[in-house]
Amino acid sequence: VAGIGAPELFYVIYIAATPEQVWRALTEPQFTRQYFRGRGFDTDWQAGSGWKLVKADGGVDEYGEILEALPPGSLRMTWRGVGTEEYCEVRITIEPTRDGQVKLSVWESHLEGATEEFKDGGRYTWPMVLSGLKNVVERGIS
Amino acid sequence: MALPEKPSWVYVTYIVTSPEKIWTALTDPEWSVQYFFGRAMDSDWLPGSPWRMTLEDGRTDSQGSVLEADPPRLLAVSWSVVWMESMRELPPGKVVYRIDDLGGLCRLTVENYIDDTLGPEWVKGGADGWPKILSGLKSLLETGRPLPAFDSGMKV
Repeated sequence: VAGIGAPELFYVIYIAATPEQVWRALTEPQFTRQYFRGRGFDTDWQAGSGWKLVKADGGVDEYGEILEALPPGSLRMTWRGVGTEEYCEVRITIEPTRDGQVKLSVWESHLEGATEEFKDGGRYTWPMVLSGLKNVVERGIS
Repeated sequence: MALPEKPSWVYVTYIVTSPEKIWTALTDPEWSVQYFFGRAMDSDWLPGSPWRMTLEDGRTDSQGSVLEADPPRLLAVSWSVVWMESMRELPPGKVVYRIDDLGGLCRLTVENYIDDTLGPEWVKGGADGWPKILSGLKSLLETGRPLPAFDSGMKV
């Protein structure tokens, strides 16, 4: 994306699961609703497609475009919020470790001049959301 | 040399448990050996007391003193890594654990303060290690199972 800066690491978490299980928990609404403030993704996860996070009442306040989706290893998307012109690019990687767990990392790339307030959104949200994802996956998904 | 006012690095994780259980997991050797690369914590955790963390063979990994202790909400310790020769002369750092009770769910915040005179590689060392340790702590408290042992340079 033009005008966007270098990726900055926002969060890392280790999960006792396979990359495929983590990919499913990250992308399928039945799982995201359990940890992403009740929201479910609506997208076909194809590069160039739009995505939105749909609330229980059908409303949408976060949306963007899928830039690259390589299941079960990586995902790159733009991330926009209703009510602000600011947006960022989010990159998520799901890597198996040598001893059979998964390292999930999240990077954000920001526009030049991005406000700390906007970046704080990610700094605050990712630990909460991904702690919830880890809990859902480790309790067992089939 | 001085510790910075703001933490050099912060890690936050949310755990479905009680503050008391997190406090026990952080301070009790029977818990720490299960997620802290086999290290055992040793202290009475009273302000001013020494603390240390030992390896499986009894050698000391890290040590320091308890700066603040308000169980089960806050623990602050000075931290010197001594098991590697190269690290013994380094100025001590500080680690602060904050536990917030959100009702059935807790937020655990770990702040790392690293001496201003040390380079960014020391911040990176903490940034690499703590997510593994705290992911293991979370798994243990939530599922009763630790993460599989890490094939890591921190293993002895």
